[in-house]
Amino acid sequence: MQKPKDHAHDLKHAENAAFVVFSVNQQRFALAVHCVQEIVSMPAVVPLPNASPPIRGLFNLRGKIIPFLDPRHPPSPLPATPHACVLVLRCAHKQAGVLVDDVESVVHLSAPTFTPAPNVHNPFSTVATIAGHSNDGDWVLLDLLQPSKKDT
Amino acid sequence: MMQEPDDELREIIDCFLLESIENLDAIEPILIGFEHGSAVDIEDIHAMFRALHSIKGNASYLTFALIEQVAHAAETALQTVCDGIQPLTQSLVDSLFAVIDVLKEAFANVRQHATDHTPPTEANVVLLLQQLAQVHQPAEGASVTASPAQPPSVPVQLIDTDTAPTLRVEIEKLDHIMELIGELLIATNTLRESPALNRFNSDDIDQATRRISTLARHLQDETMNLRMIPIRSVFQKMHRLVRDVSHRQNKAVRLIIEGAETEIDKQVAAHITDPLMHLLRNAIDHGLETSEHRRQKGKNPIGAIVLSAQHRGNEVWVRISDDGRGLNREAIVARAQHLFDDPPETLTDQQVHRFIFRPGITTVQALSDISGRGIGLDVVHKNITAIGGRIDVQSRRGHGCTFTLRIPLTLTVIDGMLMRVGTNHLTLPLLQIRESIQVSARQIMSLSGGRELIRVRGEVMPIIRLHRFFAIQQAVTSIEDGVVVIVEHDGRTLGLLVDDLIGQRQTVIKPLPAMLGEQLGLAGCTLLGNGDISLIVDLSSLISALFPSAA
Repeated sequence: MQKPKDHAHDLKHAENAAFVVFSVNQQRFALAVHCVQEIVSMPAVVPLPNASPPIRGLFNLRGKIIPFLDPRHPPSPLPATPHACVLVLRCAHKQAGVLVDDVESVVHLSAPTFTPAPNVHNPFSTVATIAGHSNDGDWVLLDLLQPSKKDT
Repeated sequence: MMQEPDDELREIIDCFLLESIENLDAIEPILIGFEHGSAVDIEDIHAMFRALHSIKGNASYLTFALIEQVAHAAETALQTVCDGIQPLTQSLVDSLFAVIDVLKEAFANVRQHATDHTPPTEANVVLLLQQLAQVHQPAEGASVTASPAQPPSVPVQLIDTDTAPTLRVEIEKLDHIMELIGELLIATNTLRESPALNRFNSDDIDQATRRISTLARHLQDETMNLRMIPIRSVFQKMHRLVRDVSHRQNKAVRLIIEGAETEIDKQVAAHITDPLMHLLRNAIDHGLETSEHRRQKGKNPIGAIVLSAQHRGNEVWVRISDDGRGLNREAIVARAQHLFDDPPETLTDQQVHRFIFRPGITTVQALSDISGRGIGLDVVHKNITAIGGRIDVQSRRGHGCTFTLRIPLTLTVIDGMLMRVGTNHLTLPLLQIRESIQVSARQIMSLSGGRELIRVRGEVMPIIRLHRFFAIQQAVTSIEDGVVVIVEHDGRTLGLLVDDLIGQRQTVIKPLPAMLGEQLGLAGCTLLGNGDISLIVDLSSLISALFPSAA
């Protein structure tokens, strides 16, 4: 089983932390910058219809074959909105591309504070958990799941 | 005793197990040689002694008391032979076989429970130690002639065998290198096909890219070679099996091995060991007759089994051939009746024989403890197809039976057929393809429930629309306009509908990302020269997804 990262706590109380803010299903989310390897435009996706959602297929990122996740609900044909792009997430040498509606900005917060997350549906359940709600902006903080030792 | 060993200790123990099993593997052929009447000289005795001694030493260091005790007792018994007190006798050889078995059991205990002591093993050890103690004190009047070339009783020297120095590398590391080389090959192809570079129209660039791609290919070949081991190590295990099974069955059997130097991928070797054992057990149990029967039929009373290996292109062919009674067509027909679509009389022997690979078919009424429970050949078949191989059977009634395993040289690179379905690419292992054809409308039959069949030269087979299974858009949907790839799997013939065949490709198999879990119908994926991804089709899971009743 996967368990949340141990540093989730540190992350919420970090000073001068930077977050990538993006939106999915009209909901704004954020991830710590170090979790996001890069942002790429919508790639060619090989569909895997029998994969469990939100996994939609595979794409080639410079020679690496990476799972493509589509957290939109309900699922609709690819690509989505004109701003749609893919966040390549990286955690413990594992990568995944997540389709998002829009990447808004990178925000730097000198002393971010968070309250427990509101009751938000987590469309990223296979890769991330909801860590809290930002008091400084209207977004939900995500934290990547750490693969258990067995998986690595 | 060790509870929860930490990683470092675990590593040491793994190393110990690996070495110890190699040591045992060195002993076994000598004992089997002895039983077959080949001369066992003092060098062989010393080799066995050294092997046991090193197991004992390491076990004592790791405080595996039971292993140490057994190895010590065996060593002591052998010492009497070393010292010329007694010759190597059948009873000592039998005890040494038992020592090997008990030690293997103890090694398995260590691997699973991190201790060598389990009650069943302990019970075996008690018996064995008594047996060895008797051998150790030869009965009075026992012959005292040792081999003539016996040196004065020198304590055993741990002589380094003068083989070339070797290095043990984890397969995982090799896999990683193979992966990198695969990526290098793809990058090279991208370079060669790059329109931007081709625009320069330069001989220098052309030569350099050509050179890079040749080097990458050499690198691939050489790395693949690192994974290759002679099939001997697999075959050697079979001697012991044949010995034990034939003793139990009271049949005289001669195992003839050919092509033991043939090299195969280490991983493939691991995958074929069990299927081979199964086939050999079957050959002795069902195939070969008893000596009296053979004599009555004018055959050599000693049954012969030939185990051979040879390279054929990108495959290794492993054959198990016995000169026993052969397959019984009528018995198979009787048992498999419910599986025939056509009347059995219309089927060739070859077609009937293939039914033995279906689950639940056995033609032997009496169950023995060795084989014949109606499971077995289907499992063998499944294991072989799981590694992309195939298995054929040829039999002549009264003259014997030959199983041929056709196995890919390696599991990381396959000969694949690249096919197009819509805008997607799919790859199918070439070994599984019988032929590909275009069909006309009158060959197609639609059944209720959306099932579709085609008739090819009198044979009827279901059609699987790959575009539908993989939910691919914009693919050819009319069967006449596409290409039907006929595949054989598990004794089943199927037609796969694709848009086009692109061609044969050496395909580097990449596993699907772990996050995906198991994907029905897929064995992995690969990158094409232009950066596109091709999924690799796995027939066995495709079939079990489509025909759940077959599982």
